[in-house]
Amino acid sequence: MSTTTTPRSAHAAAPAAAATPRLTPWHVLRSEWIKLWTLRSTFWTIGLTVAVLVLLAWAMAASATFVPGDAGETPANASMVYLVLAPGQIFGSLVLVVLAALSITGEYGTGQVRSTFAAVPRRLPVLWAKGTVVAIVAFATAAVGTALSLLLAGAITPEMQPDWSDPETLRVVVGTPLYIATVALLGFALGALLRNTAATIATVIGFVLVVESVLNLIAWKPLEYVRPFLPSSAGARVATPEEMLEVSGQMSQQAVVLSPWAGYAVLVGWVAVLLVAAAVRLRSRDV
Amino acid sequence: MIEAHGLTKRYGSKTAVDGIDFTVRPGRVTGFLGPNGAGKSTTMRMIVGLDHPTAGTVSVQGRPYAQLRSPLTEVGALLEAKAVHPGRSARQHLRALAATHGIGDKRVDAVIELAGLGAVASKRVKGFSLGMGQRLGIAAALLGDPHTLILDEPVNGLDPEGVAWVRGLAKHLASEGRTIFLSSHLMSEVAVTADDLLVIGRGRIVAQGPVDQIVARATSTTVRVRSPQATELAAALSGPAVTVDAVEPGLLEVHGPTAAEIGELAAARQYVLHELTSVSGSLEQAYMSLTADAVEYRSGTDTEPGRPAAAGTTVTSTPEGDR
Repeated sequence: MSTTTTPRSAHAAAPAAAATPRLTPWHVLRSEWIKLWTLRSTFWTIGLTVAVLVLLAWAMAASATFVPGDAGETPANASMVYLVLAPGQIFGSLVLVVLAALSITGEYGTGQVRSTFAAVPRRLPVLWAKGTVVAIVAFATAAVGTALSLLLAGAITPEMQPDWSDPETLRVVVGTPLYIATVALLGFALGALLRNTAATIATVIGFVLVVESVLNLIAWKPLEYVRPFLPSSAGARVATPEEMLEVSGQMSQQAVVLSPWAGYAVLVGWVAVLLVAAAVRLRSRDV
Repeated sequence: MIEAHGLTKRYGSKTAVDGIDFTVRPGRVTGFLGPNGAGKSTTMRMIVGLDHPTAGTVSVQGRPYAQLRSPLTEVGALLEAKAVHPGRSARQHLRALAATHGIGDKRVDAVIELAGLGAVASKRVKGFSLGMGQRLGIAAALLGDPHTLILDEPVNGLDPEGVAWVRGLAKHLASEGRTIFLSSHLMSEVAVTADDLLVIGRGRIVAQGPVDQIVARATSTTVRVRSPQATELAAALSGPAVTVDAVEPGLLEVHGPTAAEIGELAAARQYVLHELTSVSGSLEQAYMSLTADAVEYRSGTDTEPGRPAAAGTTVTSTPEGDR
């Protein structure tokens, strides 16, 4: 041991103070938390999401100042707030889909996943931990973006200040980050299933922006049974006031009219189904 | 201790690992030797549960890897260079891995120092050379201070100092009673590091045993003798430690005595010799003879120098060559 050619013992510096190392779900969660915050793309996508939300809110509030003193009845407060938040709901969620998808597809793309699953060979704890971290961060990001949007819009156009005593306003305000975070989680679940960044992002964005819009526009009777269950359209109901839901219901007929929270449950259902599919694939496939 | 029973991996119609059995013992360095594509990496991936066996089982300390309560402290694995997200620094990568087991930053810093990564620990892995990536992989394998270490081609891309470090580390860890299992496609590399050898070719174990035994036989010399009196010479040479193969009429291959001894014997008996050539068997030749029928990707020109030494004596099971 005293000769210079003897390598230093691998365990000479082993921590004597630390508790016995042990693989636990809590530790995996901590690992995924570290992983998320040690990539530059995390900061980029979070910053971009907040920027998109605030800029779109600013645009809406600024353009709303051109129609003051409208003689007609004033729209409900929830609808005013919705006007501020609606564009951000779509585009903010799509940016966060990138963050969510990258958190898992980035592991497959780089080979990191082999290190990860060698450390956590049961694999599923990784899926749950990543999903939890993504959900928390996506919700927090969207909540901050929403709050800043409302502050800015309210400063520009006082009519757009939320009336916190109105339960519908409250639902739209809380529903916005909830919807955004859940769409991001949809991207995460699909990413876990497809294991490919480009395919995942293209699928989610293509589905939300193109497929759902087209299906909502085509006047073909059987589609009335499909429309209520489209993930993004259904989920967005939780962040949309009744007034607006009625308008869109007239534009594209639906066989079943879901309540805002039932619509959100449909989106959650999609996420759950995709996560289960991803979990099955994760357990059975090689990496 | 790693034990495999009937371990098999098929990808479609292609069999990568074909029902192999082996035991890797603690306190020794076991070299896993085979040509490219022989099934080494697949076998190692199955040990740590990244690939699921098509059939058979493999266990570490008597349990399948996925059932270990604390995998990183049982097994450290270097499976391929840069199984790492290039956007993270070396320290961040190790911290994230360590966190899965609640291993503290102190240990992370310790393995960084141990692997000689101190100067680059906070740099992103993106810019790492192959050798630095390899050191990072070894650092990751050591994180949990594991009882078993699995290293796939650990010296790949390392500079001479790094190669010496890995050899010393492997031997040292084995001396502490740990199980060390390292693969290579180079016999010369394994021969200086390993105590035991496991040779794989085309998904099958073609030889296993203590390395010095295999080396001793592999380096035994073959002497080629051409003589019109080959039959008489063969009879004169025969003894307990001598093997004589009649390759063709008038040509013998003799294992055992040296060329000098054969020449002196022939002179004493007044046999005519037309050729007396010492064909020294090298480690590489022995290895090639072991895996000759089991090479997946053969180069276009056959550079095999004559018939390699008879290392076949250590072969426990020969692959059924299909040609």
